[in-house]
Amino acid sequence: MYSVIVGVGNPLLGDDAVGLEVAKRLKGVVEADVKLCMAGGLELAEMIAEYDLAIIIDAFKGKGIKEIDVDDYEESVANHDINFPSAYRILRRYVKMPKVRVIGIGVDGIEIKEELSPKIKKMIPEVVKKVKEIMEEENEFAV
Amino acid sequence: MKVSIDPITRLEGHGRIEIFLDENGNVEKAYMQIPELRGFEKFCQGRKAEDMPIITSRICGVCPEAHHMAAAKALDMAFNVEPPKTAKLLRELLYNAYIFYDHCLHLYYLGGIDVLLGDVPKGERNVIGLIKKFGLEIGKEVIKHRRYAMEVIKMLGGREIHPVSAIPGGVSKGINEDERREIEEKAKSCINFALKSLEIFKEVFNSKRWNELLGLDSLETYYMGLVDEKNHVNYYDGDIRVVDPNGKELFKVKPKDILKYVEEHVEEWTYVKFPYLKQIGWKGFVDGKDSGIYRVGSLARLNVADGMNTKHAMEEFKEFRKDGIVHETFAYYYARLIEMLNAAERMLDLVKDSNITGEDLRNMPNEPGEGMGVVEAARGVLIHHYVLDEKGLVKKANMIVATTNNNAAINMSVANAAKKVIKNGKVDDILLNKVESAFRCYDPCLACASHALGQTPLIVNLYKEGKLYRRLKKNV
Repeated sequence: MYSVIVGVGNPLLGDDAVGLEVAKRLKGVVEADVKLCMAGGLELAEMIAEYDLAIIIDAFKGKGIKEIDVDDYEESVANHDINFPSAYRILRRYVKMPKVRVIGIGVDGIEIKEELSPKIKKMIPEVVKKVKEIMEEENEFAV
Repeated sequence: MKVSIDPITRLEGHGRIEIFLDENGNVEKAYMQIPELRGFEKFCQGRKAEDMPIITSRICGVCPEAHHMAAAKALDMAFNVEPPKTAKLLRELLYNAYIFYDHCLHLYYLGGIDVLLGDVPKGERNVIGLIKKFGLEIGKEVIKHRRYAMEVIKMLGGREIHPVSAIPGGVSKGINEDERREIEEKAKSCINFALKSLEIFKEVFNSKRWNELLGLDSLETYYMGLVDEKNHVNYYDGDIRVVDPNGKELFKVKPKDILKYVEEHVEEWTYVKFPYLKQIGWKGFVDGKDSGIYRVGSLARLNVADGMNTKHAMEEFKEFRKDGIVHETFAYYYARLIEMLNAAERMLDLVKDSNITGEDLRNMPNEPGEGMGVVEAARGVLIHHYVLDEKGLVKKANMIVATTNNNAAINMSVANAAKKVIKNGKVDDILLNKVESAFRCYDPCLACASHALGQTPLIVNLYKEGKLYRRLKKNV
């Protein structure tokens, strides 16, 4: 299975970058391409086109680690972009689009800084584990 | 009645359109409010100057290439170093790929839908509606050419979306002959696609509906944009030219001097300032020759210029400007199409330059000082201004972004459109979409205007006799 893992976030926005950090930890650890996305829904959809499976890791305002339904994953609530579900539906008409699973990591808020808070840092191993489990579920084996 | 549409959002703060109705349900006033998360300039203080092109490109995901390049140019000046010819060509090539990529997004996925589809039901106001009307082929072409432009950006910038190649005094990465040939082929294809796009949009431009759209808002403002030595549009470099509402040049200055000509007005209801021309003065939210309000972006660039630097775009420019200066706000779209063609043609010209595969990519920086970098972001003039200390660390950083330059005009356009379409208290989704469409003409980036990292949704609030009676929260 041709898989991609995409960490989504902004490295300048504190805990918003947690998805990027998780993705970095997975590089070379799982049998999948690993990408970092610091843009909106359309770019994200373009990034995962033509894979069989895409696992997206992103922060959301809330608590805990949970899998988010793709249709509810409106990553890009943007003024100059389209949201991910719409972008996915559009691209699907022209190119092969993968099965998508989204893992959300609840964060308290966002502020301009370059480090993750200790609380969020502690959650990273659990998210890494969760991604590996999903990969296994989808018949992909971690190395 | 209160209507609330809540998308999931990761960020606090929203763009807001506030519309106030009088007792008869007609629009009394309307304005646009942009949220602000202050502190980005402070965040930059004490950082290594050479990190600025990377840091600022992450302000938001909308125009990272523009911030990257404005920062690099500010550092060229701050370190008093001129990039070698090949480096300049490569930077401009990347920059034109970005203009093409960004305009393509706005014309086919975002605001352009208002022009191409008109008042269609909400569910069809997207590319899928576009396909229904114009066929599947156009959708494939849009996706293909956006990918082409992104691949060029990646090849030159070293990374997808957020480039890292521009450094003080030049670029960190050149291209070889194979890459050059690949870019040449892509540029040729982009030119054909841009010509086809003009054909598609011109069908609308010849219709009655286009005249209705043009009639929605027209502002006789000053215009500001970058021009080359022939007064042709240039997105990457040049002098800043300002013309009056009749097209007469008010001034043409080196970018480093622009802040002497611009002042910022402050309103108590918003943190975001309203830049205006100092020598004309702030006269409130009014247009005309006596008001210092100016506009930037595609329409402004084509109004300040005497022409375009490529063949087909020049022909289109002559047609666009045949009756002189164009003030209708929806003409931003027409100008954007001509620029998309110009950017593709310019890519081809640049990649055919024999110096483009040169190996002299960087000149070494000198002592640190003060620098100003100005580029044309897709949505208008973008200014980065840095003061460095003797160690090359950032002492002061300031940015004036395109949407801030357009702030006063956007407010006026929203108010004009609201007054035209909302009558006797009748407000529905299609009418509100029309009000927003005036705002979308500018292809604004709220996140960037407010220096709020990330992106924000828009809220439309309607007040009747002082009370909020309807609220819509949505993407724009």
